[in-house]
Amino acid sequence: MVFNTGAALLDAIVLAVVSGEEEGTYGYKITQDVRQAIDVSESTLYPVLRRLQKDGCLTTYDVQFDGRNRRYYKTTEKGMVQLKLYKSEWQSYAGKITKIFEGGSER
Amino acid sequence: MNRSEFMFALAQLLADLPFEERSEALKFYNNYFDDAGPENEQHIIEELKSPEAVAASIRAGVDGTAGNGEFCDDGYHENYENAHTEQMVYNDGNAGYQSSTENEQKAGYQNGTGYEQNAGYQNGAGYGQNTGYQNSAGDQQNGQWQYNYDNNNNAYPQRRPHKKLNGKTIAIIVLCICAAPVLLGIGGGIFGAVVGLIGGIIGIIAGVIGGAVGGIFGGIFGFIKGIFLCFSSPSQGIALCGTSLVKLGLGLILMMLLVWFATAILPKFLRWIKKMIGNLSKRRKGV
Repeated sequence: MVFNTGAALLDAIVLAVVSGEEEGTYGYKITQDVRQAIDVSESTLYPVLRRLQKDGCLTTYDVQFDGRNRRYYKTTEKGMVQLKLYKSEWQSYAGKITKIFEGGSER
Repeated sequence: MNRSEFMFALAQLLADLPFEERSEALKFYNNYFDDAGPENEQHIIEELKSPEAVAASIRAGVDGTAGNGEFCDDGYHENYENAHTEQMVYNDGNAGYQSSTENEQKAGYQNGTGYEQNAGYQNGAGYGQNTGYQNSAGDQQNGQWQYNYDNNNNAYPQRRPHKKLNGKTIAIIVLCICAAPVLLGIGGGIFGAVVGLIGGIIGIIAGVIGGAVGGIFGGIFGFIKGIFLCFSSPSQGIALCGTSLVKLGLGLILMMLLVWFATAILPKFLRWIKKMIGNLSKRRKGV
């Protein structure tokens, strides 16, 4: 079955995953965490992270690790506001649909 | 394929992107492989499917066409994942882009109806009556198409799902049909302007040649005449000699100007024209 929800939900999921870590997380870990929730191709997430970064919802910083620079992503104020918006939208949306499904089954 | 081959191919595929986009993307995936560890290298390469697929996803992100996907039973899939990655031909870089733009161009010019119906319009604009306004629009349009080509000279074709006949494509085709008369008018105007410019340049050159020849010959003959005149009327003769020498001098200067023009400017100019023609035919034939 196809629920055409597209970009916004994916953005919300990524934001939620990144916001879960106080100090931020890095690309590989973000991908693994997201893939625990939904099945996405490993190449899907980079454009999302890049877009969120360009929109100012995420910020990046590098940490020296094992002789290389590991890039960490962290949510910004704007990102947290956006995430809150997404969460409330989701609750409203999911609630309405659940109501319809449950209401229907009573007949 | 191993990691370094994969990353090398990916780097090449991204060669036409802006520097920052390209380096950010490569950094991300290098980090990705590093964090996964060498033991997961092959697994990740399988998951990423191919450098082409990854490049397509990055490009879609840059274009803003990422995030047009669907959540399905087997997960979330972006629309660009359906693009035919097996069609990738590195050498024929511009195939995808050029054919669509070429079609648009053809749509504009081929529109037989537009051409015939607006014959009158075309003639009117043919001699640059609307030059001022139309040329700038024309230049902008040409500039825009040129921009698209220049950016994609080496490359990997734009991997967008624009081969589907969606509303946007139809709108573009309709726009070209409607714009055909204007384009023809603009074409006529540009042609008129170019002809005028060439005519003007030829006129100037002819004038300089005439001045040089006239000055030199006139000066020499005048001088000789002046000498003869000296026998009958010295003052007049000397005056005539003087003015003739001035004429001769001016003629010589003009001649030197011509020589300098012929040897220095003209070859450069011809080369520039050849380059322009080369660019134009490149656009048409889509080399």
